[in-house]
Amino acid sequence: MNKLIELKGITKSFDGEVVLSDMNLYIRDREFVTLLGPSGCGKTTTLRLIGGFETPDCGDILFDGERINDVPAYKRQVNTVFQRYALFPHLNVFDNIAFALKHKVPKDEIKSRVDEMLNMVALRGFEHRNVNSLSGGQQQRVAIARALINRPRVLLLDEPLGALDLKLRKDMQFELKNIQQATGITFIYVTHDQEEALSMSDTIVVMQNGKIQQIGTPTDVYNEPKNAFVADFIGESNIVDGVMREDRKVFFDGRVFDCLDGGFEKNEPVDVVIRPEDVDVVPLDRGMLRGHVTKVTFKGVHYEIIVDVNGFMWMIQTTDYVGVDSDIGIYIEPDAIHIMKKSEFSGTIGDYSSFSDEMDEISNPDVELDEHGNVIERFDSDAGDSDSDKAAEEGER
Amino acid sequence: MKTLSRVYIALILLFLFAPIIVMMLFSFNSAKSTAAFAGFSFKWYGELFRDEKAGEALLNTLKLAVLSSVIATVLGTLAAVGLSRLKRRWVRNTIQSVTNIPMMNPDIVTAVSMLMFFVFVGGMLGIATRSFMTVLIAHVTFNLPYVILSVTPKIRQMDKHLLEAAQDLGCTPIETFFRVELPVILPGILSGLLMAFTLSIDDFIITQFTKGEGFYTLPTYIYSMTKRSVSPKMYALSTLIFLVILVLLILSNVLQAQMDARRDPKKIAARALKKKKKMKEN
Amino acid sequence: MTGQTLAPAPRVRQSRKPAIVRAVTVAPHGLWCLLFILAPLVFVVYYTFTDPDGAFTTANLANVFSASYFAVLKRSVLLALESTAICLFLAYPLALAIAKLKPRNQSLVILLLMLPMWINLLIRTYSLKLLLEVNGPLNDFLGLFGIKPIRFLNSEFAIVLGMVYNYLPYMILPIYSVIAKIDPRLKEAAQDLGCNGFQTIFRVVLPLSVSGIVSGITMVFVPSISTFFISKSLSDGRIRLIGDVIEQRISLHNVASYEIGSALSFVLMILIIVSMLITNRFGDKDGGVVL
Repeated sequence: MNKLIELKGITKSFDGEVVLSDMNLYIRDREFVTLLGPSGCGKTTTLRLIGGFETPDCGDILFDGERINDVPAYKRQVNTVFQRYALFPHLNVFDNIAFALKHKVPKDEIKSRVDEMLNMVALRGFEHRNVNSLSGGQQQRVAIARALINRPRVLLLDEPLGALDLKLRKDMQFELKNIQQATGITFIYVTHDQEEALSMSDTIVVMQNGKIQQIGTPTDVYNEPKNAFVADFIGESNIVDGVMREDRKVFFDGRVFDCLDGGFEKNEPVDVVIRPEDVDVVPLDRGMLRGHVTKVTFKGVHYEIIVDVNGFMWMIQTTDYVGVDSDIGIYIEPDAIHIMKKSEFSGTIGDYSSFSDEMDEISNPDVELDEHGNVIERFDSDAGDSDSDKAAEEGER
Repeated sequence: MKTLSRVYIALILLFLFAPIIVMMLFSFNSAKSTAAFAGFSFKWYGELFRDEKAGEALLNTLKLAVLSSVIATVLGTLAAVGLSRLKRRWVRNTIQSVTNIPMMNPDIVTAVSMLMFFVFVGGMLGIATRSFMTVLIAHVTFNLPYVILSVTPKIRQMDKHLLEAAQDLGCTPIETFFRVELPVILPGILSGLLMAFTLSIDDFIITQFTKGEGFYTLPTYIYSMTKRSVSPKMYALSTLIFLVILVLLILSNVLQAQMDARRDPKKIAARALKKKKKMKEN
Repeated sequence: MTGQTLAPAPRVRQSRKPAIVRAVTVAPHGLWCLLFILAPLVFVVYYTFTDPDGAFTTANLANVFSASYFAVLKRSVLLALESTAICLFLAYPLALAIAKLKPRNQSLVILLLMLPMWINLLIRTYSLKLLLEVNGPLNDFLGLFGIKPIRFLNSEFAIVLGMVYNYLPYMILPIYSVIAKIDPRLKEAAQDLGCNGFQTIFRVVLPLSVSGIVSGITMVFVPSISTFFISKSLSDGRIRLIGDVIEQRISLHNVASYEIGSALSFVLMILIIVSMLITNRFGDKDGGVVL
């Protein structure tokens, strides 16, 4: 398996804002790779650079070892499935799928290849249908067939399942995975849905702020996140400040815990990650830590409880019922503790006093939010306080 | 309240149509005067059809309208597409504002300005200041903003990803324009063409000032007729024009509705269902 | 497995793709605008400020403001304002009434309203003249009620009536199109909070329809102030507006007449620009205008 696509030192900005900075990535043949991250992290831009719809400010894009920066989109052996399908409204299903082959391939060959594609996406009989009359799932399949008919070596998918409803999405996830394995084409998939990424990918590339945060298999990324951002973005995590006393011994919340990680300096400050499902609720006398239950939510599969441990709100998932306002003991096994180096994200994640960023700022008149609840601007009421000072203040709490 | 609204609407419609209907009636009047209706007759229509000048005027009008609307549509569509791709906003806004000047200015000012231009240039180059060319240029000029106005929204509404998809599938930029962009914005182009054609047929003062001697279009011909004592021939001509416009408007609306229905998902689904039912019954 | 290359790559500056294609599609149009829209306006100004020998003069402009022309100017402005106001007061309730109809009927009524717009101004005006003549149908109709024939024509009333008759649809359509787009839930919210029908209109619909009103006013005032055919045919040329004077002068087709014609057009343009600046003050805050 060789390096099919390489991005070397890619920097890209839009309107003065840097979207990707010095990005290095290689993608191997025949893999299902997912670019995962929140909106604005640069994942779609990366996809578009590979597709040829944007050109990098600096850096090289290599395809099979050859530099393709100057190769226009219509000459690249790469095809794209767009977010809202981008089906041609003036053509029917057959003509949409046959689009890439028209005038380039004889008529009867076009027909047989379109039939082959329709079979693959299970849409036989739909040849003459008007694309505007199809359901979301059907349009999506036409988009896939249209992109694959060219037999590209790489297929780019830009959040293709976002507009479908939940159950259909799950079915499509299986189908896409099957198609990828059957055809052996490299799929580069962009999404912000971490569950989707975990279930479909061979490799996940986690991105934030225009940089790659971590690359790994789904189990790697879930079990051994590299920094606080990845830990928080994938699954739920309790992230606390700790100090590595020595290998396999970490100090946090007033006592030393046994863990499995090593390789840190003596007394190095670290971020400690403990997943909610890995915390055991025990009677007070058997607990390593003591917590006060503030909220209990029944989720069907388990109870989700928010627990005050020394002023920091933890989330714990447990199948046993615990009463609100009760005190509980907390037991953490060594393999439930994962240690990460401190990063630019340390202290920004906070605790479980709220789930969303918007909730933290919703009553603050000195902050301007956009329609999605993201912070656009901060107006500092005390002159002289910088934004980063304030952020650090909030993180420490 | 409801009936009051309806009565009011009816009154206004009556106000708007009464004079025209009266004129239509009098075009069939066998007597010349407008004082009384003497009897039903087609004689003014007969006179109209024998009027050579009227026939010539009609031909000129059509020639002018077809030429100017086609030229304006080609220029305007290209411009609209080019403008939509322009990155520098100030260039786009300037060109759009300048293009819209003939639309904002009253007809008579546009007419005078074009005449002054032709007078000056004609004087310098020693060519005729008013001719078919000058009228044609004037017509294209006032048609352009309407074409651009028709096409631009369709370009804006088009999913930008369609163009990327076409390139993704192997089309060069020019192929993309002809295979994808043009068909998708076609409704806007056609309605711009129709609008330009109609405006050209309808124009009076700009044509009046920029045309050469002895050249008549229908409106300028009607004007020359009103200068002298009026023959009901004019009422006949007006009635005919009204009927033609009525038919054209109905046609264009029916066509528009058909085109929308073809693209409306709900209606497509309804039709498909109907088809299936029919097939089951057979 | 996919991974990260660690060695940094040499930085390469990308060459910008020439924007030739874009220039080619816009250039013919841009050239056309320059030649046939901007240059003509320049020449209007040129002829306004030159005398037959080509020297600079403000005499033409001064002439425009002399007694006789000024009276014409004043009359044109006044009549245009009158007809615009009348159109507004007729059109607004009509737009509200149409918006209450079933959607199908709304389209039908709008179609009917648009029909006269497509008929030539000359024909429309002439048919009105026909109707209003002393021995014409309207007087015949009134005679049925024993009313003596009234001289409608050859009066400022006739001219204003002509303007209203011709331009009413231009006021109705923009107002209607804005009112039709108002989210019905806004009206429901107002009623939920205690407004009756009239209050809903004044407190919710009216403020939201201002951009349509501004459009309508512009589309009626501008043609009203510059028309000549309406005044010429409905008053046999006896009551003259700016448009009449311009037409008369220009049609002589000699340099002196071109000059006074240009000067008058120039003043007319300034008048219109000023009026548009005033109405835009009251218009949509983002400068949006419904066409």
